[in-house]
Amino acid sequence: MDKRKFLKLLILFLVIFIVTSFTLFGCKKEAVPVEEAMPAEEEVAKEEVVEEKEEVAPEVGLEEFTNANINWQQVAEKAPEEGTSLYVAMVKHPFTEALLPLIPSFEKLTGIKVLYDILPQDEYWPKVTIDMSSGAGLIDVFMTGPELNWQYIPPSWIAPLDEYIGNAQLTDPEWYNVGDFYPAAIDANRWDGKTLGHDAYGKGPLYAIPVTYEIMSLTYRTDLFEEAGIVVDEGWPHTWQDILDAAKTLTKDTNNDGKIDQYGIIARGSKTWASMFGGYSNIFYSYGAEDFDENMKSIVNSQRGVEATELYVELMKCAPPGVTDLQWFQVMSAFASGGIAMVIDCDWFGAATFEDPSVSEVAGKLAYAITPPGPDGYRTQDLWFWSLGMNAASYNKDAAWLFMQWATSQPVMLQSLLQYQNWNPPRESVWENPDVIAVSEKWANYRAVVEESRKYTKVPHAVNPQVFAVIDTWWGNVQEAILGEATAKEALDRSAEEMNTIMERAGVNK
Amino acid sequence: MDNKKWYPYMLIIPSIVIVLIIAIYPIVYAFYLSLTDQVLARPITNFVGLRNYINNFTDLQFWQFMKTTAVFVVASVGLQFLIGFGLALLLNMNIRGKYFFRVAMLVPLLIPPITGALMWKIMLDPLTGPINYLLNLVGLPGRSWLADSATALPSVIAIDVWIFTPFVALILLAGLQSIPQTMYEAAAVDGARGWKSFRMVTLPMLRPMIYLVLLFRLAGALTAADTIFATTVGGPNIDTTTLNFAAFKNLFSYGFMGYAASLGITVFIMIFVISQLLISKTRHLWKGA
Repeated sequence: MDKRKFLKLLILFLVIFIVTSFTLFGCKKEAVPVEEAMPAEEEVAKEEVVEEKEEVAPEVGLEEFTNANINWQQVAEKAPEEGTSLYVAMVKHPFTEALLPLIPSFEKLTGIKVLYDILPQDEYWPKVTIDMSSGAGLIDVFMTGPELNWQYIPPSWIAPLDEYIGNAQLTDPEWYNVGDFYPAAIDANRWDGKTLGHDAYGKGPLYAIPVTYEIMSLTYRTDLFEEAGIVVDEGWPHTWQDILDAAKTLTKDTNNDGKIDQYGIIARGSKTWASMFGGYSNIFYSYGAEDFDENMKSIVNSQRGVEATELYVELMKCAPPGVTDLQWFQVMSAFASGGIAMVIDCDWFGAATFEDPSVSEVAGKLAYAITPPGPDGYRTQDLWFWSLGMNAASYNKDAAWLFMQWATSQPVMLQSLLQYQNWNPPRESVWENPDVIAVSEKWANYRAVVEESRKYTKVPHAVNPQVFAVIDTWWGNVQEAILGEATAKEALDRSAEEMNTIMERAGVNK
Repeated sequence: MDNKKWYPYMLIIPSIVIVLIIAIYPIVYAFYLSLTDQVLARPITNFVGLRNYINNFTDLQFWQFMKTTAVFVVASVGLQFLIGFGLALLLNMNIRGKYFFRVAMLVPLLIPPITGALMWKIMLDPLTGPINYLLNLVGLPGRSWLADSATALPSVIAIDVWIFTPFVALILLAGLQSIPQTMYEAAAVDGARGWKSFRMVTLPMLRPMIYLVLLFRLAGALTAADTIFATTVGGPNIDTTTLNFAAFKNLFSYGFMGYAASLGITVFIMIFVISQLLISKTRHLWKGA
């Protein structure tokens, strides 16, 4: 054929080749081969881990797991020719980072292949929702949390785990030791799937195993406080007014150039239910206000609710501009770069980031505190447990459970904390581990605050499958109050109306 | 004999099947969904007829979405059209480096819209973004562009205009280039120059292109969700939530299938009406073969 025709055919062939190769290789990632992934430079003295009976190598050695009284290879043995593979969907998080290098050892231990996807939060949730609602069963294991479970349990998308934990073939109860988890962490992932309202969780089947224990506490800059002459006595802050006063004092222009460059506080604010973790849920519920009454009618605009919101709005005036756009990682990095005196958010921001001098300007200058009670003496601290759940439509449930058991086992949890800063551990043995104590004791009163917080932590929102829709709309109106476009009362009145409309739409209150 | 009659239909059946599956079936299903009260987290679904639509009619939030959509679409498409047309006219002239400018103008089109939107989100960051930094250099105050109710919607509109103006310019430029020079010469002979020639020659000859571009951009603006998602996620509160974005959020984040479908079908009806209007205006050009 003539030259032009040949060239055209060649280009066509090349294009098809490139397109097909991108499509074929662009999808699920596989676990990285062992040699590249195993972190070789670990200083952490794993040998000194006295609690363990075995000699532990720098990686989590296979002996850690083989001394469990189950046959890890059982699924692979019964598997068809092609072998079993699991698809795990994960959110970008220190726990995920901790798990990745260890996955090859799981594959060696069990003969089960693991494919995974790590996505940022906003893309992750729709993807999981679509897979589960379609019943496709492509995702086997995924990351979830208490409020998320409330959406997944009623339509039976998530599998109850009690039968796997109780199955002696699949789980060695002594080795795995569910009792090692803090009760709060396990209870938060229990729900009967029907009862709505406050404290309706904690009863019923267990649907997910926690991998973190995150408490919303106050982190503050002791150096800035000293400089401003604010006295922090025992039990400070005693009231929310204390925090507000400190924030006002600390928001100032430090270099006299006419612009404020130091802020008293920073908080999340973007239009999502998760922004309430930035201190608002702590103050709102500590004031004794509630989101819903026993009949699931919204009462956010109660007297106490309005007072709490007004104080929070005042507090936000001491925050940098654009706070209604911030997401948690922006809050974390802004505080770590200095110039901000306080933050009410996940306590582990301190453990994983603020206290690490290689990524933070404020290491060593911090102290921690539980958030204060409201005027009637209630104290509530919001909390979150990232947890691993199993897709009820999964085709590999036994394999999925083996993975979940392995990933939430004591050795892996310890490794994920010491190596990858996956704080706080939901397992008591990990929290009380000498190495963990040694690391966390260096951070002012971090340990004391975490331990004392456990008395006040609870999931504050009423159990409700529509929790995201109602809290999103509630928070949207609070945003308006923060921006000064509505008073707290107007914002909460509108929130109550919209929350009730949503509950009607969901068929809960006609 | 029969063979020959069916032949043309057999040739187009594959395409029709694909269009039916990909385009028609989802719309029919969405319409069906909008007549139910389906909520993902709830196993039972009831058929409720037009209740969703009736409720929307009396829902303040729905009208807020409509208003935001109207502002977004009119401002965004209007600006894209005006600026794009101007650009096309400029680039049609014989200036030095016109080829370079034509290619440079295409850059926003070459990146995926969501990448462009994310880029702008970073640039508009109040504390660390270059836009506020540059403004401060000349003494103007910086603002929280995407977090402040007053500037959130205008900022999102501006980003959308940046992303899609090249598209308008490109199509109109192609149209301008296809107008034969002889038309202008003939008009000049009759004494029409400048503005008159623009009105009498350029505009009429460009009409099909203009309608085409308007159709694309109106449909695009009405269904814009990625730009909003990447920048403000509909916030602050619902200030940048258009009807289609509300449908997106209610569907994927909350699982309110029936409600979201009713919003989506409303958008569909709006696009349908607009496209019928625009297509009918150019029908005379498409009749016959």
